[in-house]
Amino acid sequence: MLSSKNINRLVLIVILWIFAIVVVQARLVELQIFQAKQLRQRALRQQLKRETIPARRGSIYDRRGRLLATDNVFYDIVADPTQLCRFENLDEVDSILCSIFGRKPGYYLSRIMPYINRRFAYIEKKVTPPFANKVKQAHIKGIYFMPFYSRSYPYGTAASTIIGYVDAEGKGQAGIELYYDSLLAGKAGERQIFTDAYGRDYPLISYSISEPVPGDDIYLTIDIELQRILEAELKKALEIHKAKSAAGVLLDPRTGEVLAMASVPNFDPNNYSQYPLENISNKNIIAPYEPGSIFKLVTFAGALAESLISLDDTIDTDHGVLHIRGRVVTDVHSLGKVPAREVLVHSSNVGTVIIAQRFEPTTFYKYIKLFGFGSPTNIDLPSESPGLLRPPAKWWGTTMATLPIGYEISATPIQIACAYASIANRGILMRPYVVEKAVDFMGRVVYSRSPLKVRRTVPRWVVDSLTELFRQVVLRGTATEAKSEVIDIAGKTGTSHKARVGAKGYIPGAYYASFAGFAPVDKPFVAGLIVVNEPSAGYHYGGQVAAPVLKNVLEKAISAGIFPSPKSQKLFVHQRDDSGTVVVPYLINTTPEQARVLLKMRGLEAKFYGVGNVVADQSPQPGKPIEKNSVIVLHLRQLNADGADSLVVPDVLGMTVRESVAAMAKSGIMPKIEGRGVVVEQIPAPGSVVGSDAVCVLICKPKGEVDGNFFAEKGYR
Amino acid sequence: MKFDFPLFLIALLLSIIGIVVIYSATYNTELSGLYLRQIAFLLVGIGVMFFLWRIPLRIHDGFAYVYYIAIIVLLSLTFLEGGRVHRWIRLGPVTVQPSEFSKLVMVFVLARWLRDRIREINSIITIVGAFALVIIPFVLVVKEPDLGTGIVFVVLVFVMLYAAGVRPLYLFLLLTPLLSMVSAVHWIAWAVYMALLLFIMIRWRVSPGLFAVVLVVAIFIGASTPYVWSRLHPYQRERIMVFLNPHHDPFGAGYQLIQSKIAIGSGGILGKGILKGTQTKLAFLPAKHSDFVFSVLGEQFGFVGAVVLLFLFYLLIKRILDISSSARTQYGSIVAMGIAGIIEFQVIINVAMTLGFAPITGIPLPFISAGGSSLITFWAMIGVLQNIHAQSE
Repeated sequence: MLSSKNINRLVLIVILWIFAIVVVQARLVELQIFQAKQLRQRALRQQLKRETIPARRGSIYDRRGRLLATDNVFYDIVADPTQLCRFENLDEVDSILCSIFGRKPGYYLSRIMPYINRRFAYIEKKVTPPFANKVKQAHIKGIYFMPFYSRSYPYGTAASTIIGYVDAEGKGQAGIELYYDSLLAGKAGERQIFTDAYGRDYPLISYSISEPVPGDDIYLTIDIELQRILEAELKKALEIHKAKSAAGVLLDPRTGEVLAMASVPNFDPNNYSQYPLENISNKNIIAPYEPGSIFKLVTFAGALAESLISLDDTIDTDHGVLHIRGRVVTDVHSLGKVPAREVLVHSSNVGTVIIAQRFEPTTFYKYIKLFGFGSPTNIDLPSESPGLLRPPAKWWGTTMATLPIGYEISATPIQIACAYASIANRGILMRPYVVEKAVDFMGRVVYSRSPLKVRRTVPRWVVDSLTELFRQVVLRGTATEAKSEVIDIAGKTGTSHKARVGAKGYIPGAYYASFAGFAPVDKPFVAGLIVVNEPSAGYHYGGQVAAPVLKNVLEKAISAGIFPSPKSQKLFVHQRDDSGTVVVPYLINTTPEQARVLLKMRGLEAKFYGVGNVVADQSPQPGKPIEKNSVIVLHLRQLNADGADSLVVPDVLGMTVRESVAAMAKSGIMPKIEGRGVVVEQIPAPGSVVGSDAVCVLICKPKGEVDGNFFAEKGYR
Repeated sequence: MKFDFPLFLIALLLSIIGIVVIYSATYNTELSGLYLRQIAFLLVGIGVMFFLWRIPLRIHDGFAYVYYIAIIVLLSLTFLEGGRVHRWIRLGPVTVQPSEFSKLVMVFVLARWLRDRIREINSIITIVGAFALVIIPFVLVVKEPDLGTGIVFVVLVFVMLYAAGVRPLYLFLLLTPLLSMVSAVHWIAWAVYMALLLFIMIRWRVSPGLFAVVLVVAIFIGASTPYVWSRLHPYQRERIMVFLNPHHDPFGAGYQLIQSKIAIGSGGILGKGILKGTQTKLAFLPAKHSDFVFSVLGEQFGFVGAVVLLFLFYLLIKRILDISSSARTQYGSIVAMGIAGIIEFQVIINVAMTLGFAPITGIPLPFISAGGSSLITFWAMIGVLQNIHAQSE
């Protein structure tokens, strides 16, 4: 019973009501139609987070393909509890997992239950592939595997100072791992994961932007067995002579390949943090020392080459004491008047200094430089020291009395070894190197090294004279301890005072005992240097301490079959691995056809298990050396099977809407078109792996508005 | 007895949409069972509707002041609970929110007061008395704190006074203090408002006494507002600013609004589909099942879903106003308009809030937002409307 006035009032209320609704609708149009795209991007921006997918680091092999360093794959096994609840019986899952990992029943329930309403829970961390495979074979829906890599060094301390180590962040920190980090590291992939308002990640729903590229494998010139012999002998010398440290390097004088290079005490790269930094350094490269008599090589080589002496010249060493330019030079045993050759054979300081007086300092300096002293050898290892050599202009008055016998100069073991190797190589100095080649994950050689001649040091006839002299040193001179029944060694000893650090003068009673040489005398295939730092058990001469080390190493290498027996008259070439083995390529996520081609290229055969359009797993693992004609087992999976699996987004950039929809449909992804014309942007990007329920947004522009370069890049006209 | 099926069906449809959206909003969260409770509340609400359908309106009329005392007691009881927020009374397994029921109670109370004074409807006592009646419940709910319900009471008084036939001029004059304060943000705005006020008062020949009172109040408030504002602590000013414009504070109150806008906008025309809203799933959206339930709907069902929902609300109000105009008694007509006013106001304020142009006041969306007290109260209103409809000719 309303008056007409009240009816008017109702009309006013209705009008107000409609007005309010219209205002709200207008706002909805603004937000949901005009700003929809922009707001959707804003939503993705706050919901997606970029994350890197680590790449597998390349392995390191010795010259015969023995594995020295590798990334082992481990899995974090994780669960999506929501899926688990929907598809599986939790008690059953628990008992399956417990039987695999040997846990008490209920253990996994207790891991999952706290996260039952979440999308992520850890089941087991750092699981080895065999265990992970057992879980995979149980086919539990809602269980996922997150692979990661962990570096391991199967030979432990052997060659550790060459190889170096990798830190907790996966970066190479010393040796090869550092020097070749860019090759070994590979390229990390990237993916987008969802993150919620509380910053919790949802790593199981992810879009990958780029797949990681595994690092390259590196093959060293080192023979790990020879390396182990060298290290064992150095350690033995260290103990017998109570020395502080010892270093040794063996090269192939004909090529400059480093066959073994050791510095002891060393470290285990598997647990590098438990060793002092001192042990990690490679003394052969970074620690120059005053070489002493070993350096007489340069004095004699120069004097002969310049015809300043003949080996039969008589040198008067007097009573083994020489006063010269305010300095006193002494010999251990006085030789009296002797032919020049005896000066070297018995390592007379006095005689050497007398001979050196015939040099112009600049000429002498030229020979020092010719043998490579004072400059780095440019070996492919980090932190190489060039040693210390002053130019003649800065020499003291006494320099020509000390430099010829190896003082007032410091040299690294690798420099000395190379200088002696040049004599073994008929006067040609080679650049030393430790990396033979690098091979990428597809098996392609991406880096390879061939021997590099640096320069000629002295003429052939000087080489012949010196070789004969060094042979005499071993047969009847200062290095008789290096005389071997099985191999003819030539070389020169050195016993030098150890200089004080940061002060003038020498430490009394502290010596470097060294021996440099090569073998066999007639056709040398190995040259090297042994240096023992501060032997303090009574003996300190190079001939007593260092010479037997080299002899023992060579003899053991021969008996181990690493070097040929001296009876063999064949030209000896150090063995390599190239014979019958190839490296297993990385095939995961490739199609079966691709995988077959990649394997065929290497003379390998494929055997497929399961059905599907991509390789899910392979055995043996990538990077493993394997005999040619072997069979590689490949497990397949279907990429577009269900929600848990993933599809690869095709590249439809530049296509028309019609073409792109067809291409998307073919790969099983729902396209969502925004705009008209040709596709100029794809979200997610081409090549991404997405879930089968994903939608790919294709942003289109009329062809006329698209920049010409865009088509040029895509190869369209 | 007549039963209004269209009214029942619209309310039922809205409630079902609410349950679907709540299910979707809380899916896979710690609140995932919430929709089941909402279904139970719906069944209770429908029961309450059938019960009230059968209760003659005059019973409510007669007991209005008893209801009034009872609801004040219930609102006071909420303060027995510990903590800083007192909105609920615990009754065994369920908690009830008396402030929701108080909305319907205040409809009856105000209708009773206005019916008693219908002959002197434009007298000061009638108008002031109506405001006096809501003061105690208003203070109690605002103290809870539930400012939203408090504002609903004030709006309800205006709607009921209007429905009962108070001169619009007086309603306008009642707004003077508020309008004077708001317009005082700038002297030009205030001057324009004062000119308008004077024009209206002269044009409609306001009595000299009232004229003087209104003018003094308007000038006093207009002049003192800038002074009071300048004497406020910066943080107090900040709070008021954020209340009026939440975008002012993008990490606090503004955060919710921005997230709500992103959710609704990213729904686009057709929405992302049920259970698919990433804003909702990844917990960016706050209070997604209660105050911001419209954002969930906007994200998952898009523009189309939002328009359908608003159309249903339009039909509901249209139906209620039809019932109001065909009511047998003016009392029934006023009650129906009061109910329509509450629903209208809550819908508009809630939706406008999620769209980012109304302050965040914590007003639930009728029939949709999760919450038993709210849902049952709105079904009770439907019940009362059914009775009004049943008694019409």
